[in-house]
Amino acid sequence: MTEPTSNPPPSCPSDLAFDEWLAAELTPERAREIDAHVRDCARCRDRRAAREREQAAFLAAAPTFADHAALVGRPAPAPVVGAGTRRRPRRAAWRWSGAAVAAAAVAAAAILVLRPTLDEGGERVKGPPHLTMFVQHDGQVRRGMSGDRVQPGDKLQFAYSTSDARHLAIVGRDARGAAARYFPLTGPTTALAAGARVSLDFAVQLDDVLGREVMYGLFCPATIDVDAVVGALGKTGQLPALPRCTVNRIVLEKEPTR
Amino acid sequence: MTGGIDALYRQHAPAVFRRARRLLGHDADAHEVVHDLFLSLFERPEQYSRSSSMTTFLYAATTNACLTRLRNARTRQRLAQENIAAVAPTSAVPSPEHVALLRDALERMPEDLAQVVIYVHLDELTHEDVARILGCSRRHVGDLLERAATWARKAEAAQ
Repeated sequence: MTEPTSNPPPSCPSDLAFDEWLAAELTPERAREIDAHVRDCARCRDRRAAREREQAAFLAAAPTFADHAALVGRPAPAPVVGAGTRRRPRRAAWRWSGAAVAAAAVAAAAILVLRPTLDEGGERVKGPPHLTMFVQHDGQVRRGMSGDRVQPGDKLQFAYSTSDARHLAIVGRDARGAAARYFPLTGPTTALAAGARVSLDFAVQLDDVLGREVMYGLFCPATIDVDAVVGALGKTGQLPALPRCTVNRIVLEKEPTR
Repeated sequence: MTGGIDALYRQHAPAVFRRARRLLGHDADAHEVVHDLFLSLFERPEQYSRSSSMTTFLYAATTNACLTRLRNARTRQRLAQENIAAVAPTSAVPSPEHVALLRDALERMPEDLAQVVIYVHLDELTHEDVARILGCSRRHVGDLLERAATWARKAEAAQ
């Protein structure tokens, strides 16, 4: 049996090695070899670009596993949407300072100016209700994803997408186990109109508590007691039962400022 | 694994989808493979032993999942109706013998032979890569390929 003529040239990494390289799974030595190869190989630069396009297209359709489950018409596994369920309860001591909240309005203005194309009128909402996050770091704004690495001082802004009117609350729990509400800042939730990537008029600045921070967008058919949700999240590490709500979970890994 | 399912999904699902679509030639089926595979990892994270890279593990898991689907009679019937055009590599025009071998591999070949044919002729991996995925020696990969070729010749002669 002969090798097909379409095989990559022997000097080019195989698809497996290429995928491992992109996933940062290779030894540093092997990774450096492929780094150097790709710099000098037009074919492999094209491969990388194609992979990046494929990845962007796939994740645009289903940014999270829960989104993907909705895409294929299957239920998402409960722990994915009921975030923090396996965390050990810790002392609740919310660290989101008043100063940070006060800075939020300023941050929001900056992000809104830097991100002129956020709202896309008329775009069809795909999948279940979900949040889109934007991260401002060192003056640059990027679209954030669950699993992103962020740093103290980074600013976050959110947009929501839903195909029908929903009450929305955004809450979170940091690495020390402290929980807080981000949206609405006070009072009960109110129904938000259906729309695609509608900006929420607030931003948050990340404090200096390092480690994993989990944020939850709660899309519910009726108003919810946000303070009670935050209380349960801080006390037990788990969201309380939220019947008929869709939970969108965003995980952030907060690392020291470089 | 539990806490990182979304990170894992974001890192690897696009590549799993790419391979599954290439093997199955059908977007909806490929999406179902992605879902089943990551749900399985979520529910039974211990199946990934960390003896290889996650990418290597997922190559094997995707291949197995796709082979199972391809051997499902209903899938086979639908793919036959769609001429299974996407089974062939997209990067080159394969020979008719190559396409015939792939079809045999995907539909009827013994599973161990089908896997190695897919890795070598569809994914275009090196024998060393295949050995890593299968957890065997390069020599064994060569033996499997020889057996696959023999199987294909016999199948062709029997037709």
